[in-house]
Amino acid sequence: MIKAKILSQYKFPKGGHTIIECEDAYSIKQTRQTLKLFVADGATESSFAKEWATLLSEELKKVQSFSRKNIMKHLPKIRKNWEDKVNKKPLPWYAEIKLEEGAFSAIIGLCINFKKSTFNCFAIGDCCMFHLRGNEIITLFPIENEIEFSNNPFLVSTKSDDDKLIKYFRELKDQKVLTGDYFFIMSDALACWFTKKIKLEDKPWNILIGFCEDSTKTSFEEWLKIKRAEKEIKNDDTTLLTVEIL
Amino acid sequence: MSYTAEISRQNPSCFLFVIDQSGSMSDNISEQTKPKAQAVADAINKLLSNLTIKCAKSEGVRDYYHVGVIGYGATTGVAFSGGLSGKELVPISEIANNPARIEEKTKKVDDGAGGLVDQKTKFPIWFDPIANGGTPMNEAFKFINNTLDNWLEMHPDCFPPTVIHITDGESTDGNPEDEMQKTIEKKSSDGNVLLFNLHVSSNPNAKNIKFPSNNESLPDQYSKMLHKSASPLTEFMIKVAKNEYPELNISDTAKGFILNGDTVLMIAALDIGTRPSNLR
Repeated sequence: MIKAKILSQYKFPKGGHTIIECEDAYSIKQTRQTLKLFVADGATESSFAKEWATLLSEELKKVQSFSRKNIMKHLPKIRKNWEDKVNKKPLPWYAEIKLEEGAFSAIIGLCINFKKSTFNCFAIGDCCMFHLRGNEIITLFPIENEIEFSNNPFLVSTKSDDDKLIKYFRELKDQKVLTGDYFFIMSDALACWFTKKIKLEDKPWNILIGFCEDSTKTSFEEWLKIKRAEKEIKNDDTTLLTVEIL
Repeated sequence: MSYTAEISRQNPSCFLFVIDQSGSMSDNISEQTKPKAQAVADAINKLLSNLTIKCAKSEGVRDYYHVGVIGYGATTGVAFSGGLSGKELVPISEIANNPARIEEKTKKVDDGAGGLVDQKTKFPIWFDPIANGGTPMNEAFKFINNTLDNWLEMHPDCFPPTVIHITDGESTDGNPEDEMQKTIEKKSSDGNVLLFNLHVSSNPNAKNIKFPSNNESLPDQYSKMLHKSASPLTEFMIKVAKNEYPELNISDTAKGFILNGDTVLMIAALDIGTRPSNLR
């Protein structure tokens, strides 16, 4: 039976913002049988997006399987939780109107099954998963080309939009996992850089795995600041989860 | 590349609304029963409301923009009153917190079961209609050019300021083209100032025309002058307009000009004008 080791869990706000303002969220749930990881990226243009991203990543941990039907079955309850959370206190006029527009978030979920040595993954929007085997990324999911990061992706809304959700839901089922594999799950700014570097055969995973040896997280944060300043990585909230299969 | 600067609280951009409050604005818009001054007040209130909502987050309003409203008619100058009185440019959060009053309106919304239900919505008012005096458009643009110079000196690397000018076009202090030209020649390191001219006209031949690339179908010298002086839409604005407002049939050489647009269209203009790819 395989095992998994979580090598990194980083979340940093965009430059100029505080961590409280960061609209990315992640969650991890490990049992004897499975490891589930989620990264959600709340849309800057909506309000209460952080709350929505956090609820999505936390509540979907409870989902047994990652089928489209199952994920969609849980959304009404998560939407209700969000409504309850944001309507707790009176809001100024602009917050009330903005609230009517709802909040939006991208989400990706990865579930590794230790006994079966398989993984399932689903995504809505532009948070991404990369599967490394040996010296090669064998899966880029759900985006394979960096050009796609510049489009406005479809995101999960606090409003019911299930017809569209069906169209934009992406999933990978029962993919094989081997000892020595790595998984990287990240929000879009870092994923865009990672995708570009794969194409250039720059082996970007070596940089990210290198940071895992640093327990202070400082080196990843410093590196991220430099890459943002050099405009190699978009100044956006950034989350990275790294998993090694043992 | 131009128009790519990040818009953030550390590097805000600027919006200037220039509104015609002259006596001729009491005339009705062509084919409508609404006076031009009322249409302008409705538009500016809606535009300010939308801009505020765009910057609203759960913790409050983020100052991505500083906003000025300049009126011209019997006098030329800052049009804010009350808590904002006399302020040339104010952070958007101050606009948000200082409407003159908040009205409640009822609108029909989808009930989720194929029907419509009434829903109350808040409508903040900063400006009431004013129609008084001449149309000193030259003076108004001299005023805003000075405001823009001061802003650009303080924010040399900002996303370029956007000027939204709403008028019936009938300047009474000479041809304003030179001053408008000076406006669109001003620039930050990220590109030139963007000028949108929204023309409300009483001319019976004035039909609704949106973002034309040439002046062939414009009815008179006023609309032609305003079209000529408006900025071309940026590449990103054209992309947004094509993707999200396909009904506008925007061409690649579209200019920031609308003739007799209703509020919805003016909101579309603002949305297109405030959708840089890099709002942070």
